[in-house]
This record gives sequence, structure tokens and C-alpha cells, in this order.
Amino acid sequence: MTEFSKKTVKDAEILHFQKDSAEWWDEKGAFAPLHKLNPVRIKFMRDEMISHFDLGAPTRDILKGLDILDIGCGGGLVCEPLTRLGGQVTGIDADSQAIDIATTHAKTHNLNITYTCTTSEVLSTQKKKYDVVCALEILEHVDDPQFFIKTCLACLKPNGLLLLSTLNRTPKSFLQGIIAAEYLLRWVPKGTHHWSQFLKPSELRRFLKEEGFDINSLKGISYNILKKDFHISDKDLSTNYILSARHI
Amino acid sequence: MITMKQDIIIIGAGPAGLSFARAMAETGLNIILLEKQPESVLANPSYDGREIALTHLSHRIMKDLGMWTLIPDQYISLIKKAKVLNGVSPYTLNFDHAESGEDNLGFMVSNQNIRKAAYNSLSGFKNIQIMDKTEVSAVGTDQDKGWVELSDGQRLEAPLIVAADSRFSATRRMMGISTSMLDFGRTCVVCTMSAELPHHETAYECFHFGRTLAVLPLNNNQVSIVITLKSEESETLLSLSKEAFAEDIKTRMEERFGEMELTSELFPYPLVATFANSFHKNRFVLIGDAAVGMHPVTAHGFNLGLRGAHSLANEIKETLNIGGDFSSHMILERYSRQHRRTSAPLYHGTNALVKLYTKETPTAKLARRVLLRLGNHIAPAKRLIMNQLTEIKTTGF
Repeated sequence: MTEFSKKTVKDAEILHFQKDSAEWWDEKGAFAPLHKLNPVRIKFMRDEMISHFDLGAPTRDILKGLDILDIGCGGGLVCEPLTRLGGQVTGIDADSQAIDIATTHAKTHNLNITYTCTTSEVLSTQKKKYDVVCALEILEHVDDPQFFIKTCLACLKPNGLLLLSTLNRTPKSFLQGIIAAEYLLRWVPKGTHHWSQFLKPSELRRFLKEEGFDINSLKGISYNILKKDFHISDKDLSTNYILSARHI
Repeated sequence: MITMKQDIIIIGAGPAGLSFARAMAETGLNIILLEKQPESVLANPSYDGREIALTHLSHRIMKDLGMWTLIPDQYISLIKKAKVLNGVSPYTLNFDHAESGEDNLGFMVSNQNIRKAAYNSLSGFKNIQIMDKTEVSAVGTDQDKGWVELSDGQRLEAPLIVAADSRFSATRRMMGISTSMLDFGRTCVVCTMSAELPHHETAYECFHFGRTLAVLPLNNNQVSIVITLKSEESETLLSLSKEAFAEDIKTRMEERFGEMELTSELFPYPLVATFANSFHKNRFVLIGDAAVGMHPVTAHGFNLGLRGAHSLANEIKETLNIGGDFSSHMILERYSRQHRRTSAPLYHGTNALVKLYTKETPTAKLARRVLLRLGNHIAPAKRLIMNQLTEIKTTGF
């Protein structure tokens, strides 16, 4: 497994996020947009898991029995809801401060989540495999996305489900994701994103296909300026998008 | 680690608090209602003279919540027509259920029966507990929880605190939420009367002589009387003999009901409208009159409270379905934004109407005449008013 000795995470990226780690759970703080985005992406993820694993009508512990890995979990914004829905969740992040925050927050809220400060390339060599692997808003921060996806897939059980979300590389995403979000609205700190690192869905699909996987469902996430809310869009993939992928 | 027995603490088991608890009941969350009065009073509330005009939206929500079927049919009266009268002018603004496409414009149910049904609708839900004869002496919230201190020294904690403790909410004040209040310097006097001639299920709203008088149809040819008048005049009214009072109403209604007889005592209520400047603050949220306390003239009070309780419950349920934190700022903010958008125009509109109809200046008189005619002749205006009052087409919940 020598190829997994490569690194997926940039040190500069870790440092960038560490500055704001304490604010992970502040709904009005540095991660406010993620808090707003969260209900939309959790709903998509829940529904994808329901249909992939044939779980039936949604109940409050619909994800019971699923082993879920969240890569780049940050303060645990995704791990906590998935745990409340019954999932057995493991969250990993290269930023140890974020892991500390996540661990404390889960404890305060009586949630049983396994948090570890590690990376997907380390986990991918381990025996333990997962029903679901998620990496949300992470791809745009890794050095080598193709390699990163490989490590994600290596963490999956056979018939596992991969859930990814990221930013598209389009003129609109440059305007919205960088100019608007970082400079005009100051939603996220300057330097959070590098447009050239954004991936097109077609590029992602190519990476997946090379590993014998394919996109199962692909949706856009659009922002409504008037309603100040994110929503799932079937057509508009130009900025944020989210997808599920499974073995062909 | 914080261990909390409750998920939600509701302060006040009035109609709004009880309806909210009922709307949350099926989620299985552990809910505790704190109430000053003994539970026996909640189970058997006494008659307070208030007959509530329920809109179609309230009817739908109460059906959803299993409250409607708990009200015996004979206690539900229908309003099929409504007339607005201005002073002594014979000109009236008319609403008819036939124009609305529904069998009726609204439903009349006493506050007593609403409270009873709301209380009974909770029976069988083990996750809902009522702590009666309980006074809250302090309330507060921090990053992870809300807490309540009771006058007996007990302390309760929960992720979310819902205040439904009247328009003069003490806990709203304790949380430092400021509130706009409008004291009309007027008193509302309510009672029921029997009428000799049939009321044809018609509601009358009469604006005259600095007073407003509403006559609302009840079953068995009874009517609910709602008078608003200057507080200093209310003393005189309240001291009238039964016969003199009946004679006064009969004359004011130009004998259209024939002989009238008082069938309840007279219940006076001071008229103060309130609007909280914020509906929420970290893990603390206002519903019912604690959020918006309406002037009763347009009959929006309980309807609005019910709608708010229902929309907060819906926000919370949606959050639970995706594993979210139901006490988060985002959820309370969303409820708050929605409920402010619904209630602010009604609140300010009603207050403006009240001013217009209690002023006796020539301009006010002219404006009233014009409004009435506009209302009758401009179809969209009429439809708008009708939907405001009946909420037939309101689906926004």
C-alpha cells in the first residue's frame, strides 16, 4: 500500500481552519454558512442512504445499524445529526483543535461519536470499513482530489455509499464562492477557497469511474438571496453540488 | 455532562401552551408544562365570557391536533354572514359565506371549550407532563441549555424553553426581551344574551358612539356580545341592572333581535395590545399572547397564537427528521421571521382600525364611510378582507 503514503491534506489548509476552530458551533460565527447549508445537505444524505440501503419510511432513528465515516468532520456539524438519526458515526479531521471541539460538544450533548485526529489515507489502510463515507466541502481543500477519492473508496464496505459535496469550477462559482462569500458578504474568511482547486462534476465522475464507481444522484445546492436559505436544485449545479456514488 | 429529563419546558398551560405541547406530542420528546393554576382548573375551566371566532385555518389545525373532535357539536356555532355597521348609517359592509365557497365564514367556540379540548387532547401522551400550582421565579439560558427556577427552589433544565405565559409574560421580561405595549385606555366587556328573533348565523360588528359592539351568533339563538368602550364608561355599564343592560343592547342593535335577555354575567377585560420586539433569544422562544397580544376586535388573537404554535412545532419536527438541534438559533429565527411576517400586519392593521373607529373627528367619520363602500365594491379588497378574517385560503403553515 505504498501509494497511500502520499498525503491528502495540506498543512496550510489545516492552519487556515485552526484559526477559527473555537467558532465551529457558533451559528453566527465563521462557520455560519455551513450551519445554514447543513439541513439541506443532511436531508439529501439521509434520503440517499434511505434509498441505497432500502431503509423505508423516515423515522427518527432511520440510520440505525449504519457505520458512517465523516472525513474532514471539523467541529462535528454533520456527525451530530447523523448520530441523532441513529447512525454509528466516526468523524476524522487533520485539525486536532477541531477534533477537541467536536469531542467536547458531543459529550455536552450526550452524543456517542468516535472522533479521531487522522486522515483518510491512514484510515484507508485499516481493516475497519464503513457502510457510508462522507466528505463534505472537503474536496476543494485537498492537494490531490483523485487520490483523496481513492482513499475514501478504500474505507467503504462492498455495497457502500459515498457522499461528496464540493464547489464547481465555473464563472458563477468564482463570483459567488470567492468574490461574494469571501470578499463582499464576508461569509467565510478570505483565503478559505482557491477557485483553481474546484472540481467539475465531470472530473469527479472520471475519478470515480476509474475506481469502478459511478455517480448515483447529483444535485445542485443553490442560495436564495431573498429567502436567505439554501435549497436543493435539480438544474443549477454551477456553484455548490452534492452527490452520492456507488459501485457500478 | 448535562443530563436533562426534559427536552422542552413550556411555561404556561393556556390554550397556546397546551396546543404547542399537543403539536409536539407525537415526536416523543419529553415535555413539561409549568402552570400556576391547579390541574383541576385546566381540566374544567370555568366560563369566562369569551367566545372565540375560529378561522378555517384554526379549524384545520385543531382537526390535525385531534382537538376539534373533543369539542361536542352543540358547542360549535357557525358564522355564515357578517355585517359591518358604521354609526347610525344604514349602509353596511356585507360578507356572505356563499362568496367564499365554504359552508361558513368561521366557527364560534367558547374559550372554555377550547381550553378543555386542548387539555384533553394531551391525555395518553406519557411524554407530556403538567406540573401545576407552579410559579416560575427565574429563567435563564446559556450556550448549552435553558433553566427555570421555581418558587419552591426546584430547578429544571432543558435545551429549549417556550414561554406561553400571557401578554404580560413575566419570563419574557426576565429574559430581557422588550415589548411594545399599547394601552387603549379602554375596556372590553363580554357576555352572552338570548335573542327573541333569529340571528340567521350573522355576525355584526358595529362601530358607533366611540364604542364598538360585536354581536356574534351562537347556537340556540344565543349571541355573544363584545363591547369595547372607554374604561371610565365601563363602570357605568357594569353597574346597570340586567334589564337595563338588555334594553341598551336591544336599542343599539335597532331591535333587529327583538327582545334580548342577559344569560351570563358581564366579564370586563382591560384592553392592552402587546407585541414583543423579538420572539426569541438563545434557547428561549415566545408563543401565543406572549409573542403577540392582539386587540380582540378583529378576532385574530387565539387564531394567531395557534398558528404560531403550530409553525414553531413544524420547524422543530422538520429539524428532528434530519437529526438537527431543535433548540438552535436558526430554528427559532426561522419561526420568528415567519410569525412576525404573519402577525405584524394584523397587529398594526387592527390597531389602526381601532383608532379609526373610535375617533369621532369628521375625517375619521369620512374615512369610515369610504372604507365601507370600498370594501363592498372593490372585489379584490373584499376578498382580501374576507380571507384575512376567515383564513379560508391560507395554507402557509
